[in-house]
Amino acid sequence: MVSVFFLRMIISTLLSSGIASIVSPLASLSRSIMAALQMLHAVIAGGFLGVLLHYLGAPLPPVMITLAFTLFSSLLVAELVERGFTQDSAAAISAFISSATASISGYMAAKVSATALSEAWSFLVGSAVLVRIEDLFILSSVLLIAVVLVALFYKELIFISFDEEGARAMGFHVRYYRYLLYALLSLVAVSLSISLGAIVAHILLAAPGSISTRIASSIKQIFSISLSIALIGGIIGAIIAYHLALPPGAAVGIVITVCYGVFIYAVRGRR
Amino acid sequence: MIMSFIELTNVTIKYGSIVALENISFKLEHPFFAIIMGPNGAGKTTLLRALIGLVKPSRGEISVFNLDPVKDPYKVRSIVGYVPQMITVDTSVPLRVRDVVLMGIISKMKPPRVFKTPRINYEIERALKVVGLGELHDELFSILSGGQKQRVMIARAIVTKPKLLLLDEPFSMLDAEAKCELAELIYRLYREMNISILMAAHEISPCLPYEPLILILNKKLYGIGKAHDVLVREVLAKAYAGYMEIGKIAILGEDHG
Repeated sequence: MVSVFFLRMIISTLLSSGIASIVSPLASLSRSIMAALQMLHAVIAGGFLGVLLHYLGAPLPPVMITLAFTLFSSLLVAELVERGFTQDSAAAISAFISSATASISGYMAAKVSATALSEAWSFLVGSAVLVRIEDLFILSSVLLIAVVLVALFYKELIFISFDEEGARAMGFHVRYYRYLLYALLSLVAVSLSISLGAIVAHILLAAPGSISTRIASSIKQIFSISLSIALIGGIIGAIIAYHLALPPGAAVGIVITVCYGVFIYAVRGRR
Repeated sequence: MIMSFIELTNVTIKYGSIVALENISFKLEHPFFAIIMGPNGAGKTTLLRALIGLVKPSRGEISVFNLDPVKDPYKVRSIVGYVPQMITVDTSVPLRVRDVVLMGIISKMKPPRVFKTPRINYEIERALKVVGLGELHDELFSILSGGQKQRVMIARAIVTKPKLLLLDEPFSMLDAEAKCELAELIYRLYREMNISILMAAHEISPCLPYEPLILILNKKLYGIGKAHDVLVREVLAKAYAGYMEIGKIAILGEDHG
């Protein structure tokens, strides 16, 4: 008989994989992987800040503060890029701010409460072992938002990735589409951090898109391959985690890393 | 009433402290077939970008079909087609030819886009036929030759029926035959579709048979007129710092020092 915990873990992992598989190709095509990974630094900083403010009496739950800080961080990157910074420079500036915020908030949170750091720690390693119904609801909502936004605007986002200069010249509001993409990435970064942890979210955000954009010969294929990689990693990872009593995030991360390694080996072999 | 021309009056454009264009004034009556010629860093691309409001002048005024590209950039962009330098295009994005042309159509639709597929397909095929690529609509853009890629980008620009087509270095990285074919296509757009053409080019020889208006630019405008008026020593020697003549051959050397 399958336990409820395992069932929830599987559902949580599948939802997370689905979310990642939708946005990862867009991050890869728009050369925003570094910016997306930077958002996970912001999640950690936001997590520390959220827990600290929660203990200091803030009316918002830590997860909302985490989301707000990550959103701020991602829009800062988007605006810096619009103002002529390279993606890497913009991501680096935002990462400095996140790192400083994480250090200060973490230090202060530890002074306020002995358990504060362990609460913030959940953003690093995730909570998929003890998934609550609320977490599944959050993940389902984020998946729905991601599907709707990408279905509505993927053509524009891909066209801008293809030819940003031409897109601007033709009248696309490139700035707003960049805001949209980065806001979506930050939402996904927070939700993946809740379920699988920020460390593994790095892999899920980067790998499916990086692999699929290198081997696909159409946009449809990119999303199909990305979904396959994320789901395979998610399902196999969840099963391994259950049987070996590992954190699911870690197992999913290992499986997708192995997929990525096999892919790189195969590509090198073909050359 | 819309007055049919583009006009620049004392336009100066700076990037920080670097002057890209200095005190440029000229007027072109629609329809025109014109080429901006000048060395690297002359401000050719900057001039094209300024016409669609991507760069703002620090001084002077620009009018494109009686619209100000600074105040109304999106209105200007709705009547202007733009073909960027191919180097700015990321061909690793696996778009089909028809998708690239679709980009032009979508740019003129307000979100959320409602696609009327048969009408859009017709527009795409019509634009591709104009540029001679009707058969290739389902091919991957990345596998096309340089000349074919340029034609697709032109199809993308003309699918919205612009009044003015701006092309940035359309002949770069093409062989001699492809350059001549492309020049002929661009001239046909001007003659048969009444589209004004303004292109930035290092090399103008493929277009010379079509008697274009030539603007000699190197931050300042050194000459504007037909080839026999501006491709002369007095003008070229001012615009090209490394200009020299060996016998009957003029060498337009660029000053990189």
